[in-house]
Amino acid sequence: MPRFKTRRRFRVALLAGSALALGATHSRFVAAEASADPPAPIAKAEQPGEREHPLKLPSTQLVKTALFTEIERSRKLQLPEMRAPYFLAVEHRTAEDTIVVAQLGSLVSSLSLPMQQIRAEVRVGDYAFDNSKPGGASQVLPLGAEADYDVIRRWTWMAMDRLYKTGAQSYEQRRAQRKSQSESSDKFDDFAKVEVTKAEDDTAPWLADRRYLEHLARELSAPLREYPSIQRSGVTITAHASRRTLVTSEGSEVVDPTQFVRIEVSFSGQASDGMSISDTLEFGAPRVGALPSRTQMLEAIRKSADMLALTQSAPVVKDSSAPVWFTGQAAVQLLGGLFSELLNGTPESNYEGGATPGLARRKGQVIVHRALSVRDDPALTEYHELPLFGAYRYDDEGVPAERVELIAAGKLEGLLMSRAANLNFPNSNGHGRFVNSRESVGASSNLIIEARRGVSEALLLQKLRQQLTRDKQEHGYIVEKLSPHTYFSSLAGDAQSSISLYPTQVYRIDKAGKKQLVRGVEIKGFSLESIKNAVAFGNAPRVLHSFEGDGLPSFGMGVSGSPRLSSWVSPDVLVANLTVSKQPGENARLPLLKRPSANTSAVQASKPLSTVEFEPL
Amino acid sequence: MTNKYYLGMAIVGLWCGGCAASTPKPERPVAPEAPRSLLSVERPSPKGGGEPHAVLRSLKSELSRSFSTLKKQDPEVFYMGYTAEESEIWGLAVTQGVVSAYQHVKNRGLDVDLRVGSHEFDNTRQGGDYEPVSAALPLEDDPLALRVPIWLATEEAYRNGVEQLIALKAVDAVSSKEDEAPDFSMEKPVKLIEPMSEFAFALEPYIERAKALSRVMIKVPELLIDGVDVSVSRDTRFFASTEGSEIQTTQVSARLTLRATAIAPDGMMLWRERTFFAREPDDLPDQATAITAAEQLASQVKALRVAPLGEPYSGPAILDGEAAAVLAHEVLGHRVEGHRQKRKGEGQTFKQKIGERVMPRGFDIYDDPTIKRLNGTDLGGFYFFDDEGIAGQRATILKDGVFQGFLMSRSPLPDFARSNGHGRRESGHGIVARQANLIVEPSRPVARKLLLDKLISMLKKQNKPYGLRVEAVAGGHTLTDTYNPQAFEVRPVLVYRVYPDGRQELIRGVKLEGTPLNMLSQVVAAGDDFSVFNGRCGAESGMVPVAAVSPSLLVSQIEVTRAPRNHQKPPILPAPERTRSATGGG
Repeated sequence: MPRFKTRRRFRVALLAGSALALGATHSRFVAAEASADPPAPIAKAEQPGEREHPLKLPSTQLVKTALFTEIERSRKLQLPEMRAPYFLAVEHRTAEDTIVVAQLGSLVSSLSLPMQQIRAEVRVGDYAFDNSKPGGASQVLPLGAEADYDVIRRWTWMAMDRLYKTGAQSYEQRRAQRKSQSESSDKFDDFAKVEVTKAEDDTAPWLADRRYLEHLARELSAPLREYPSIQRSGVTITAHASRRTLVTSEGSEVVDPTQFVRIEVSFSGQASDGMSISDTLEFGAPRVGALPSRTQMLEAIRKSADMLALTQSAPVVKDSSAPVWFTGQAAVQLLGGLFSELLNGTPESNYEGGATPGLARRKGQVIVHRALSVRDDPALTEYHELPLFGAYRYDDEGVPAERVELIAAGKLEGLLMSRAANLNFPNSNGHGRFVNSRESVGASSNLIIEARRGVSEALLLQKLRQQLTRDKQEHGYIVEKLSPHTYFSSLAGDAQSSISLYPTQVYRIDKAGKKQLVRGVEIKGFSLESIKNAVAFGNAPRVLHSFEGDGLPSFGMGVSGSPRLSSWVSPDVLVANLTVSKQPGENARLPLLKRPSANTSAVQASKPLSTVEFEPL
Repeated sequence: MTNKYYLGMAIVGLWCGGCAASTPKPERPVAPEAPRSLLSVERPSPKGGGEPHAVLRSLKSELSRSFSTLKKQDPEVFYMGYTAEESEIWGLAVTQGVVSAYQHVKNRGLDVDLRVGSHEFDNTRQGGDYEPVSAALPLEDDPLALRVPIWLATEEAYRNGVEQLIALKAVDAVSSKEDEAPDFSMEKPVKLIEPMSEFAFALEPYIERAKALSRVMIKVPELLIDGVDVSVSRDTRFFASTEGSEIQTTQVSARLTLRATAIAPDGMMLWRERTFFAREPDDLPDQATAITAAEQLASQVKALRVAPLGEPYSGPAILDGEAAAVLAHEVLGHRVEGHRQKRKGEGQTFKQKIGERVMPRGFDIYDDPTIKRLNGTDLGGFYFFDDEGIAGQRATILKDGVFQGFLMSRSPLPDFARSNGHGRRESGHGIVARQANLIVEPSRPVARKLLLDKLISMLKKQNKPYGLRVEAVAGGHTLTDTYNPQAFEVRPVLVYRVYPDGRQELIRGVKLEGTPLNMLSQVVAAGDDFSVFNGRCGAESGMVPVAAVSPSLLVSQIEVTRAPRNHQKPPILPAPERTRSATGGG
């Protein structure tokens, strides 16, 4: 089973209005726009019955005491003839998530979810061999919004009891299973040892004002009223702010905040032959105030909507073998997505017997183009003046975050490691992230992909045209955007594995350099070899912000994964001889009736927005 | 495929009824029968005269625009119905004396029902895969934002409808015919536009009340988890159909739920839940009544913890009102839903029983959605119009023990051509006939104490060591398809052994099972103590609010079996000591 099977992945283009505009000038552009957008008092709430949240929250010290007390008590958990736990951890999280949805300038839903939860972990056995495989050793329990010392202790007690009983049983079953199997040559511990960490960043995370987000969602969705060919559209804004307190039986104590805001704008329509055309535009930042200005976002939305309308009337692609230039957002989607999934060092947790992913065996070998180097640096906040949002000090397991060299001159040097050790990679480097309620896996923070001897856009275009002549091909393609639902995990371990890519914004280009927007494109046969044999790389860094893991809560059910932003930086890439063809599938019939006409204005959407207002958690 | 239907969320409404005249509603197509002496019912009349809301106006605009095109297509659309529901919900949950959830949310949803073909044969025919197309609607009243999702859902509904009709025609061409009835009944359009009144509810005052109730329960140290939920919802339904119906109605409902869980020394999880239901938040019980209920609930769970395990048993028993009401819902109610008589694969227990005796003389059973309040208790199954825009009507199921008829939606049966206003659904599901307020009414009830005397006398006569009294149930389910036994199961939570000397002993870990015709025939007598069970019932058309009303029943034989048991050991370590005092703070 491929890793991240259940993992939701959101990738966010910081500024997707023009993919080619993404570059080192971005942060200056933001600053200029922000100064032209002066702050002013925010409008009063329009939602009837809206009020401030009246609940009390426990102090960090009280939470720590509650967790510590229960961990100490839980050391005594032991059933007759069963092993006692050797590792215990509890992470408490106080969080508020706000989710606002608007369509065509009107609010569709608006919800704030204040909550507390614990993630308890009980390991039975020892570091070398324990109960964590398959499927992890932890569990998330929602505590409710106003849980106090007593409630935190009570739920922790119940969670520890349940986890110990199931853990002790799983450990014995796994031990029995091991006895009946032949010994594997690939030996590594189940759980890496780490130094004790004591860190407290008690900075209160900021809660975004829901009323502001409602206004923003209305305003950003309103321009799509003007596009009758766009059938469905919507703006979803999600804001998350939380503070976690982690205590382990090893003595580690970590307190720190997490926060982000994400805006997703989606729209879709049909071409005249019924083919479905869709696009998604996303903006993300650690705080509402760090988002691109509203003017920038509106401009980007209009530009994407215009592009969608153009794509609807664009010709359908013809099957061919062709060179493809992945540029702007598409380049980061491709290389950032590929390496963040590929370089996750966590072994397959449901694969018993100690086998490792194929990639871990290839340490020191050349796995991609020799021009490429990849590193992950959780300490970075910018790269060549581009803001990066993936910084953190301690990972989800409380391990200090380390810069890690992943690929040097095409050669595999490191993997993104949680405390789940792997063959050749026995230690955590502080990249553990819970992607669901039970398993911490290696994940990226600020993933920096660089290419030696990268070339300018003009030279990349020239190389593309040269490639056409060399390969006697009529057309090449310039891909500016890929579908956000692109997954690379099946490429891990097997150099021959390949996947299909589905561009949502792509141009056909001929030898004379004439560009034509096309639609319905599938790029088949993309593999690690495609990158290993890349024709050229660009020299301008592109950036994309990605929401990794199951960051958002189910109503009343707690956050199953760890909500966090990652940033990826990558150059453009030109790949030769990819199979470009028309996407398979039948087209739906066109609507019998036209979209209702926009003979009325969006009342709420036209109200001006002014500033961002925050309330402390 | 297993057809299983659940009733959950127990509410107990014990009362001692007086005799008051009901208010008959003159416009009802079927006039309500004369009130019985022990039941006092309130049947309000709908009040129209309101202004159509922007949502209803948008529904009508799109309905008119779409139908003018779709009725000319091949295959043609002959009926369209738009339902939009606006729900505003205030919710509060408290456990361990602190708030665990606190919400005020509002949403609007749309269901598009579109019929392709004809009344005789359309795309919704039983055996197909029809379901409405649903969509979210904006919370604000901008016409364009409202109309675009309606348009999109309509287009999708037509595409689906054509595919469904073609598939059904293909199946029909190769199937044998029996009991053919049309797919859609002819009905007259209705119009009711209630004024959109302002409704505001303040949840804050309930926070301290709920915390106090929680503290009452956690005073009992044997309790593992406690819960107090307060929820109030205001639901406005907008309906427009191409037949000309226009409906705009609002209902408010309020619930207070108390919950207590404990774990027995052998690891068995034990729980009790009690819900109070009212049409207005002010009609929920006052704090003193709620505290008494919380204390009672906690002490019941504490007692259950150390109660002996029940053994399989067959013999006489008393089903207290609440348990009897759930039994009637499961044993009879689901089996008399009209559409089940058309579906191949359904058990159709009562299809051929019209005019036959299925219960002893002296018992009437009917379902009446027009009753809002019965003997001072609000009923969850009250409505003016069902989800097909048909006036809710009393449907007589049994009269003097003789089977009379079914609960009908607009899906007719050979001898039942019209709906009696029982077409119901939860948004997103296809409409079928469902229960609303199911009422068991004996003509010759006896004093409650006499039932107990009769039970003891039966025990002695049959030389039984003990009988049973089932006081409270957590809900139940029933199987109606032919691939499974035609059985029901009710999960009792308070069951007592009744010994011949009159002693009663609480037991745990049993469930009640049986088959419908046998169960009905075993009823010997009814008490004069009516109970109301308000709950939510789940079936193929989703969860709908219902009520079941019954007096205590003495049955000559019931069958009780062991409930599934949890084998996990109780917690290894003692519960953490509480630092907060029982009166708060800490």
